[in-house]
Amino acid sequence: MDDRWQQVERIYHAARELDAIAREDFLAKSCAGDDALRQEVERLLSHSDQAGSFLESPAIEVAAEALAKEKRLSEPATPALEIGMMVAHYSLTGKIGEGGMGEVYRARDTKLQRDVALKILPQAMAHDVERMARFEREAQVLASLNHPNIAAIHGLEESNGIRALVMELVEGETLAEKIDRQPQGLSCQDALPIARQIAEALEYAHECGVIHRDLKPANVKITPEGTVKVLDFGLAKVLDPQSPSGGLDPANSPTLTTLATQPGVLLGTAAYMSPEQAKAQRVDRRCDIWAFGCVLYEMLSGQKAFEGETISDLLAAVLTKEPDWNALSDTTPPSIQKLIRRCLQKEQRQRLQAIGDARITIEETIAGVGAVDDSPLSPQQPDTSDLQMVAVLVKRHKGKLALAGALLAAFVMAGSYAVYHLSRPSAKQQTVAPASAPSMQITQLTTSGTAILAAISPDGRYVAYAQKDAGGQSLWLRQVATGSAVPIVPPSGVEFIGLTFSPDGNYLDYVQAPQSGAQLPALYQAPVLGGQTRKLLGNVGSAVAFSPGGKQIAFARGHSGGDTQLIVANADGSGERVLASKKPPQFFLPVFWYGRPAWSPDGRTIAVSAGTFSHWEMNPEAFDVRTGREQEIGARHWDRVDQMTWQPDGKGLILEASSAARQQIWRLSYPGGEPTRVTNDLNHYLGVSITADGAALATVQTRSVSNIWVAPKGEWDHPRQITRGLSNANGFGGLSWTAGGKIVYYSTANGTSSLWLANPASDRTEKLIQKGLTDVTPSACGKAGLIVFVATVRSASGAAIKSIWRTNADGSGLEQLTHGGSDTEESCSPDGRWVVYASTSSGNATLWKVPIDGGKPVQITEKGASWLPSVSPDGKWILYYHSAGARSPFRATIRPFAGGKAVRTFPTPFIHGGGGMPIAVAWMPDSRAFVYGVQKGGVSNIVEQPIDGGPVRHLTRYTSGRIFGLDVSRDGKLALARGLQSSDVVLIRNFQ
Amino acid sequence: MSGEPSAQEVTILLRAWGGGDRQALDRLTPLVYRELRQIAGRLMAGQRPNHTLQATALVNEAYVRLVDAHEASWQDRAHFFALCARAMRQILIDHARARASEKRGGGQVSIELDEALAAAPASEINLLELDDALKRLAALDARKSQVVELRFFGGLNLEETAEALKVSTKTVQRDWDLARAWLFGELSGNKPNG
Repeated sequence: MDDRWQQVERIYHAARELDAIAREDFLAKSCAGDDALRQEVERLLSHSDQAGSFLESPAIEVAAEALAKEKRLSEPATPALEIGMMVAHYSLTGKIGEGGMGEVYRARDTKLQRDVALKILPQAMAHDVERMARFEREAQVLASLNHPNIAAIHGLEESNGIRALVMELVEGETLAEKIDRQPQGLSCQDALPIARQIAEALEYAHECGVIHRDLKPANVKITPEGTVKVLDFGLAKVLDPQSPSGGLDPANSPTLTTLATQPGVLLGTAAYMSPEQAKAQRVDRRCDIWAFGCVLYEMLSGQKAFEGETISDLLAAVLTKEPDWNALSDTTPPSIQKLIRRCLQKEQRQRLQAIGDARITIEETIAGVGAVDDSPLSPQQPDTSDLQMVAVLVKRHKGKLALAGALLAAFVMAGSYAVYHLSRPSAKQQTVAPASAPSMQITQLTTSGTAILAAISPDGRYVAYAQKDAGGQSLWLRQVATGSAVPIVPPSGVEFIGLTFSPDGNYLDYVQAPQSGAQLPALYQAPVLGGQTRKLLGNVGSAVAFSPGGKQIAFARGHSGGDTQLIVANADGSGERVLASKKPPQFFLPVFWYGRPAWSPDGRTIAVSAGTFSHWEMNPEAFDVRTGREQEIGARHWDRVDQMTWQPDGKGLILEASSAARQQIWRLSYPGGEPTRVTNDLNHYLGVSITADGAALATVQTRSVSNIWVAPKGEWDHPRQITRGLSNANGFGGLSWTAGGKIVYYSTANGTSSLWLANPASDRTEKLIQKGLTDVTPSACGKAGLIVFVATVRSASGAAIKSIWRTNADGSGLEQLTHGGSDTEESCSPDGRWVVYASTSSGNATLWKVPIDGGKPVQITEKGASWLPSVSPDGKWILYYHSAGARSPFRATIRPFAGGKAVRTFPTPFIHGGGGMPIAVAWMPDSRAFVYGVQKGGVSNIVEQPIDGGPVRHLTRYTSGRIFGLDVSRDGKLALARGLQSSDVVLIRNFQ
Repeated sequence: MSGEPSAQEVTILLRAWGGGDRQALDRLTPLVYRELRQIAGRLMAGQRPNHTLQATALVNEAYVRLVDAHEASWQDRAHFFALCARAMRQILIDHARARASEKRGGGQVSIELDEALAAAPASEINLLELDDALKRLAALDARKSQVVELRFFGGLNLEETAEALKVSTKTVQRDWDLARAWLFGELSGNKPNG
């Protein structure tokens, strides 16, 4: 690298940081007299501006898109088929669907006077002589199958270049539809007879030497009489152009590729693929046994055994992950649970070897014999004692969930939401040198993707962690070395706030609250090696910290007056005393927020994070244990600090905190207060605990991907992805349609937070505002062509000031509209004259409006806590979330925008701070309903709530992905921020 | 198929390469090349409108198939991704070249891979020109050319690129920014002096 280039580079990067005017000056100075140098830098700067999305899409995508275009042009056209047409002597009477291998029609056999199903073969195949010859041979074998549970194949017809497979017409719904209707899963009484008939069909076919290869709920039909018919036996193989061995290549079989135009279908098929199919290896009848296990699991749990957003994710899940065994209901007999586990062994040799054995187990279970745990399955399988233990624990625990009945302070609920919302990423980049040593090691411990909190035992041998389950949350103890885990609290409707091991490692103290949110969390203590769990204390608002000897604990607590306190008590919960107390707008760790104080190794000091409501910031503070004297640690202003822990030498605190874009792990020197980074990546980290020797720390790492999707009116079920990226949070903080049909959104693409515009017409994206200012919830302002957004700027003292800004649609004309200090969640009135927003500047969350051209803000709501305002397209109503205070829950509320009382409220779910994403709400164009995202089992869908109080209606049936934000255009188009989020416990070593 | 390394061996080879063993790289390259070509060809053959194809997903799939994920460390993964990026560049350039000469009527060109891969020159970015420009960039500033290779051909994100090159993400970000501007100038025929 020559000096000249280095010089160019240095000046270029410095100039990039400056605005146009400052840039002029800077270039003039730094290139003084060297015109060539200046020209070169200027040329690069201008190229950088022009480059747009140049090289942003990886080469393979560029190549693939080009191919897709060529392919569309060169494909042989399928002759158009219409109802009423004749194919040979079959008269088409209706279209049944775009089934697995092409179009399927209902038809009348005019010779035999019976109804049949006609499967039209793909043109590419009909024109391939060699493939057709092979197909005919195989079809003969399939046509010879004769079993009451197998849909029969009658023959093969050809007419005018159309080839069609004639099959038995089966009336009724598919098993996939049946499961869809019962999202909690089918009862055993319903599921087992279906499973038995599927097993019989497979058993018969296997005896005839035919493997299904593509068994899935969509291929199983149930007639109105309850008879099961398995469809499409063996077709996956005979229709596969390249695989005489019968290995089903996940993306190459016609079964899959012909459907790739429909997002989700490809994944739907691959989800039942056995590991050997996923690896494109030779398959045998055991791949059907695998698929049978998947189907049985899905019937009983209501969820797919293996899921993934992309084919690769799905393949990885099939090859490496276990299904979520907790999703099977408690009423599933042990013999059936065992059977499913046996069918889903990844090693073919370890799997159930013959489907007949499954049939026997099911028959015995139906007859009541299988309940005895000595079914004829070999002993080489995962231990099912965990499941029995869960059952025991459920029983044992039920009686002990006596909960504290204290008042829940309005502050606590409003506050925890505010804390979360206001502390989301701000753009200001911090300039702290990365301290991560190259040898730092991060090891992932769990794979469920649903971890919430973790704590490591002092000796480093155990990690306790809480995770989300279908039925709530559960608490587990995992041995680090072996990976074996036992439940401490089985899945139930509770929420875990904090986990702490006692210094001797004998006890785990955990704080738990009912999910309903109407009761306060309480502190429990469980012996690590088994024994009775005890409730120690009610109304505990954070995880506890132990004194070095383990005799005392410290924690935070919210009070009904709005005060928060730092409390010290004996380890058994007795002898409470208030060490320090904060009055609003100041506070200690709010409830439901995973905070934990830290007790210094010399026993003298307790550190805890404290914040200010009016100008959002949080800082660690230290208190003398004897006197309660307060002392700030360092001068840093953070957006959020949850948990802290001292290093054993007392010279540093490890804490998990957010500033700049993400929640990361930091080290703060003590007493100096110098921050250095431990982690420095695009993930989020929640919580931190450390071993007694300080060598390892445990935390929960959250990886998120969000991209922008759009769907035309009436086709919301088939959204199209318009941004790409595996580590981007596109639209995470909200998105909005502009009047010009583009979408404005917030993104952390390339690691910096910016406002972006996406154009669905061209799939192009452009950065609207490069840096600084930008924060969350951008909103387009009607016809005015303006965009408003929340931005964070730092005051001279470093405090974060959130206010509403506006800009022209090209990024010019930046103007600050509010100066409150904690203003957020803005949106425009449809006439473009007002910007409504929520503000906590006065201490509680209230709604305001400010003219789009600036001026004096007008207060809309006064009492209680209000969030997330949006005005209906007809300008009549304002929708927002409101809680009257104290114990009343948040409800979606509507009142006239012109003024007046609330006219209606809806029990629309409100996701508060604790790790939930902001709720996404948008009005429908007719102003008669609003839509929002609901989440179940990690999958989000959109529902519609009519404002006349009518019932909620489901609008989409997505099977994967979470929705982080949504907006509906005036003409009914949908824009979504949608993606994946997974959280797992990780151990970090060598971090100092 | 004798001599085909197992997943565990691939992991060991990766580590050896990371430790500076060139022979390990020689054994790994054809393996990764073959695997990637197979996956890429298959994915692109199945490419339809509305169907998402992500380069990182592709590299991840190769990783799942070839490497023993339980044994491998983050560093192994970074090395693997770097290797993939190099192989992807080779694959795409080879076929862009084959396609280009075929279009010029350049005689018999054996196209081993799906036409898919060769379709690249039809897109707005001329991969052959880009390849040449990247070589010039490598002469000027090797790391920036590597950053482009990893990001554009390998589909790696900032962090993964940083991990592979053992530099900070901030450095990668800056390199990427400047390299993109430089290459954009090169490809738009708007070359800076020097």
